[in-house]
Amino acid sequence: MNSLQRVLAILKGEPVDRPAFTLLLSLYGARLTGASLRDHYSDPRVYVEGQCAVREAFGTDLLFSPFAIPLMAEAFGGTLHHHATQPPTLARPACASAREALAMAMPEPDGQPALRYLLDSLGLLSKRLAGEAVLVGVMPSPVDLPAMLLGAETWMETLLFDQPAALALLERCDGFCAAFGNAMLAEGATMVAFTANFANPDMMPRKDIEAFVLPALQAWTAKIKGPLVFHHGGYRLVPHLELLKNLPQVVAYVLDVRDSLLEGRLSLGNTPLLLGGLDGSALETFNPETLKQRCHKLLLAQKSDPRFLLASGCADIPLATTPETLYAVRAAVLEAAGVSQ
Amino acid sequence: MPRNWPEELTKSIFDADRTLANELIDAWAAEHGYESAVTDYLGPVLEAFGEAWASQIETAQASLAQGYVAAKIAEDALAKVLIAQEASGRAPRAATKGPVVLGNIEDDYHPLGRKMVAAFLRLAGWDVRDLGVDVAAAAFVDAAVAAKARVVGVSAMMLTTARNVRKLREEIDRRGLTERLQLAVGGAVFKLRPELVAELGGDGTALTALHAAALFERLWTRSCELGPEPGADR
Repeated sequence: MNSLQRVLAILKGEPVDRPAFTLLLSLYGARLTGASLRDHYSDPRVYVEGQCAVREAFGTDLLFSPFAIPLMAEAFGGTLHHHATQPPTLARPACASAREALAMAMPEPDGQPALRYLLDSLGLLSKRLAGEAVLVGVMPSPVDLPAMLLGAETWMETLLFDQPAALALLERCDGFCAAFGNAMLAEGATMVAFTANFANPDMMPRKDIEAFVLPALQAWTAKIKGPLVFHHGGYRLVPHLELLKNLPQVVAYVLDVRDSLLEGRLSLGNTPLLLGGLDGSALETFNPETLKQRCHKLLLAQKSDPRFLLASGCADIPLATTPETLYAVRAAVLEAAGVSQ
Repeated sequence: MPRNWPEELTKSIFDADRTLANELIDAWAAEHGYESAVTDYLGPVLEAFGEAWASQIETAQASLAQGYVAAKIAEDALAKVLIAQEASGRAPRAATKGPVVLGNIEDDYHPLGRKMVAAFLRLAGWDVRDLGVDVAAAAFVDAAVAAKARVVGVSAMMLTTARNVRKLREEIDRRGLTERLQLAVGGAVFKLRPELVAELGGDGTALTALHAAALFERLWTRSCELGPEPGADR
């Protein structure tokens, strides 16, 4: 089985040759190619070389478009800060208020270099690996995109204290995010992963989520013409799944490392794919053998769950993580299936 | 039945209802003045709220936004104290503690938590010198020495940027200010990985932004016990 066949079989609950797994190595590709992070996060050809190197080295079943959501902020006129060891972050948002953002024209999904880079990365990945690997486009949902336009604080303030403006901006972002999500699928994404932190009761009051944030999220997911993956975005999902499950088009959930996989499954029922188990940002602190043992335990505990996929959540796996540590994850997966290496 | 002022204000904060909270504070101030509204009403309510909120955050019963609204209410109340003092011709309310220095560490651009900490510290009477985001280690120490601050509070959200806190630890030590300049650390990554506090050289951290005032009191006292304030010899 190749990776795509394996994951599609898991989605259907059919038997597979080995457990599927993935690691968020969007950043790590640059370590494997030796590219500068400037090139890695601006030239789709460089990025794709990195993802192909990731696949060759570690055999992960899912590969990702650049996990660098602040690039979207740049497309809207924000200023980024580029780092030596992590993806770019938002230094100064494009707009000081929701009203200012509403006065701004939304770009076309491929109308800015940063957006084109994100889409082209998927397009090139698809040319190289279509039919072989699962390609995941990464983007914010319309409930999170305004944080890229205004900064998280101003967006939270708008949601809390200026609901007419918040609603208007959600509607504007809905159109853009629907077009962008569908453009990712058109470029070859097998599925699109999104964050929705401002729909998470760890972040926002439940009454506001129920009143207008969740309806906006539901409306958007219904417009995406392909499968969606709900990524925890750094917040716990399991305590809130009763509220957040059953979104249209969502076929998979990436859980936070603090979330119980068992409780997640109980809450979601048997159908969706459940990803998680590892804290990607902490992998560098493990020695390979300890990590391998941890993966063994996880895989054993989840053995009866045919739709579990071992995955790293949280942020990108840091550049300082040794390849030996990452090989250990793969080794655990292969050993779980009785495959000799 | 007498009105339960603390309960009403606490409920308004848990409901993230800034308007109602301000109305309650205004009503209290109409009888007792805004100084009393901050010291005798909002302050104790926030202290109790902080404990309940922290425990409810752990059990996924509360949201970050409630803490944010609490910080906004604190800012609103302090602004009203200033306005009332200006209207009465009295000198502005002076900070009674500090100064202390705050900022996001080099490469960190996530100001939300730091701003909440600044609001709660000011409400508790601290003179806060807020340096903003992406602050280099040397700039933190320069500001602390210039202000004769005994505590510097540094915020980082991600592991990658939190590592730069070590540079601040080294800068404090290099300038011979170990113990005299206490290092408070905070941010999401320290909650997820508490071992980082010691690993990166922090002298302490707080459970939430609302607990920062107690942490700064403790660190300030410790610094006083260990020597003159940074910059005392200038």
